[in-house]
Amino acid sequence: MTEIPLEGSGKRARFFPASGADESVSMMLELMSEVWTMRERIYALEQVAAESGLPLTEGIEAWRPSADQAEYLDQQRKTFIKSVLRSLEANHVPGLHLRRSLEAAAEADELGDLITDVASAA
Amino acid sequence: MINQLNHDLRVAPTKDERARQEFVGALRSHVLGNMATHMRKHYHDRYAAKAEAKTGRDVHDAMQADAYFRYYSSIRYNAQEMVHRSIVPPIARVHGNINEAAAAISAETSSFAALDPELEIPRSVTDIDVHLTPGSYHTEYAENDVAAGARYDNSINVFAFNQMGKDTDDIGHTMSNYLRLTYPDFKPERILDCGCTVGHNTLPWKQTFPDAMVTGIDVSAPMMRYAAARAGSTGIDVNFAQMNATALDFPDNHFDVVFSSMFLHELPVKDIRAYLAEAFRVLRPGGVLLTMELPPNSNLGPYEQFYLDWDCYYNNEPFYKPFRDQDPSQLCGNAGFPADAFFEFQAPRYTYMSEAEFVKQLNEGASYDDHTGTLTDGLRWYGFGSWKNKE
Repeated sequence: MTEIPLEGSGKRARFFPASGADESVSMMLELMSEVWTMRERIYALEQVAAESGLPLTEGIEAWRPSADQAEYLDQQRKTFIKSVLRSLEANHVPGLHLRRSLEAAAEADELGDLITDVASAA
Repeated sequence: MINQLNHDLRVAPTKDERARQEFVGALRSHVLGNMATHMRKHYHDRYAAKAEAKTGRDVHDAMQADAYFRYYSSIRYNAQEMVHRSIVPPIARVHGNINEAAAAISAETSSFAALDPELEIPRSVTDIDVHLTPGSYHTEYAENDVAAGARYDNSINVFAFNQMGKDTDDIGHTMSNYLRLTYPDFKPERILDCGCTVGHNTLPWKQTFPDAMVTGIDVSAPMMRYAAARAGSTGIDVNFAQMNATALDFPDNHFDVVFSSMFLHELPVKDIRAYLAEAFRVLRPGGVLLTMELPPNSNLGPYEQFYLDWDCYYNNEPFYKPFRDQDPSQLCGNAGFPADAFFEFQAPRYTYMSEAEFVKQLNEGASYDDHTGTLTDGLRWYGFGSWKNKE
């Protein structure tokens, strides 16, 4: 069983003339997604704790991670950063499941004239 | 909240995975709702007067350097990627279990998928990550794999933020019931759904016409395995076959209905022509071709053309605009259907209202506007088709 890929192949579309602007939008949206996910979880946490009569807030302030817990947080933090900065990951390279870019296919005239029009406009 | 799938192949995301999916669905709703509304107004306020646009391409040219269009496009493009990013992790976590569950369900129920390991997958599928889907529709990651089907099935409600029906099957219900209610004397015995992916819009045909034998086909083996297990899980008796719609392995004059939905716009025009010729061949005299699709550009104003064609330029769907630039009545005529048998229509969503309201809105008719084929409240699906003359 091989890994199911998260990323499509080929060049990503670009919308902004300024270098780096497209990546900034990706980062912002990934951050929005993660911030929302966290807010939803914290809300659930507070509700469950309150319903269970747990003095959660005081407990969190007093808590210190063990070595294993610290290692877990380190790993999670690295994954988090990699995800937020995914548009700067150099993973759009030829590989097992590479699809040729529309431009390359159009130049080779392998998918027909139909996509030439599309590729030149995009 | 995003609707969860209602069958045994449902993948249960963790709390955080589900929150990410909810976020992406909400983000897409925001882009295709709020931002699309603002962008339309923005165009009409700033560009419409001087652009003198006659076509969607003219509007695209006028808007391409506009900051609002750049943000709309960039966020929408990212949201599409994030649909896949939010769907894959929970599936990857239980990948082996889904494959085993699908095989077990298929072994226990009468629904089956007839696979063709020799089938050549068309390059319109293999060379393009359609819809920015990593691995496209056909890639297999394990023996007897269903991952591509699971990914597609689980992505629909996130992608469409619940606008395609509670069980993602509104198109199938709307189109089959359109046929039942518009032609009450027509009693189909054999129905074919082409390019059906996971069969979500195939099953409604069996529900609408319980006495008919319903078959779904697709070129993707993982989709067909998944579709059969999905159908088996819901107890709806439909069979599937791995087959290319441009070369159907069925005899002449076999089917009463040949249906497809959201299929033609993924095909090169030469394949659309080949498919329609095959549909004509396998339809019995008196049978009907029924096609649910995005509306042709000739039915729309310049801005609506531009708005729908976005997917062609930025969503890895290169055949989307070439299809929408075709005249459906000519396509049907070239395939052999009589010129006077062509029909086209818009239908409201059957599963979102009572049948009486559905019929009322059908009878009232509607003009082509920003509710035609767009994921928004009050959307209407576009359909066209033709009857094969009785001999």
